Amino acid sequence: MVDNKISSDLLRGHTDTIILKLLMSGDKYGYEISKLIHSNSKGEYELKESTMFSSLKRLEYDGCITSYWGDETHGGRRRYYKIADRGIKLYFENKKNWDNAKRILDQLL
Amino acid sequence: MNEQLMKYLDGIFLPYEDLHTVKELKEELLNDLQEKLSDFKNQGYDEDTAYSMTIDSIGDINEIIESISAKTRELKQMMSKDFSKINLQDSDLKGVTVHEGEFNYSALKETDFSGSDLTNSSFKCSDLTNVCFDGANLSGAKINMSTLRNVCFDGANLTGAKINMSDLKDATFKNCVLNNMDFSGSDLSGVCFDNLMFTGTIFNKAGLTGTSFKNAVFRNVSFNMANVKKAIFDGATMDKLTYAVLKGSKADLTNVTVI
Repeated sequence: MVDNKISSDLLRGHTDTIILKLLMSGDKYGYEISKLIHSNSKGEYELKESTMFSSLKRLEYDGCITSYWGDETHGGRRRYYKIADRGIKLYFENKKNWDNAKRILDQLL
Repeated sequence: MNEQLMKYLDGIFLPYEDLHTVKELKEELLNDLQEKLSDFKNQGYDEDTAYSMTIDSIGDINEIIESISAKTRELKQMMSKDFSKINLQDSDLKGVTVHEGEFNYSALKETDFSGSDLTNSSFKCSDLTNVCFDGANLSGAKINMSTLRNVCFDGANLTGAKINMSDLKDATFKNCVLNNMDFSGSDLSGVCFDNLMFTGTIFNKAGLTGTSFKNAVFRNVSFNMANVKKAIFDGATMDKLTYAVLKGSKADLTNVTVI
């Protein structure tokens, strides 16, 4: 778990890109996304539900992802998110920007 | 425990209950949290710990509210009544009450206003294509220079409303109230007004090619400078004055009853 506020803020700034990357490998619902972030970070980063949903809703409004209700037979219904072409483009842009920023920071720090 | 979770969410979303997007989001969040709660319990946490870990994982709820969608932010402006130059395309505005609202230069394509109360609201230069005003109260509304193609006015109250210089092709008016309504300068070609009552309605300079008034009843209706030659009045009933004006404009008045 990340207790350091600065690293947590730094990670949160990349929520959109993290979510887009997860959706590149297939449609997912909210809790599935937060579980994957938890496990892919080996339990070091837990994304708050509020942060995740605000990112999902923003991405949806901007046309980067779309969503639909699944047809679960038991338990509550789930809303699945699907990446759109625009989202794929945004992911690669953000990834490139991050790689650049990382390279510069590595030189500076 | 699930019930406790539901109550908790009810509490935090209470001020935003009315918004459709919030209701859906609440359902989505609740399902996620229930699954998370049962996962925590399966991992061996006791009920209370699992519950507080779940609640803690919500984080700052304002973050969601602020960015549910730009559409929601626009809906909140409802209090200001000024929706001018706002993109409200395809919005669900069923049953809303906006008296004297301003929807000037707005994109409202496909928006659903059914059952809403829009008394004295104004729509200037707006795109209202495919909008549904089913059963809406539009009395005293002013619609000017707008596109109203395929709009549904079925069961709407348009008493004293003005729809001027607008394109109403394929609009529907079943069971509408059109008393003292003003259609001056609008294109009503091909529109069906069958079986309706017109009292004090104004069709001055309106385009009425193929417009159908079958079995309609006219009292004090004005057709000055309207192109009535190709309008259909089959089976209509009208007062002497309306009849005289229509006759003078060379309308086809066979099978019309004068009262």
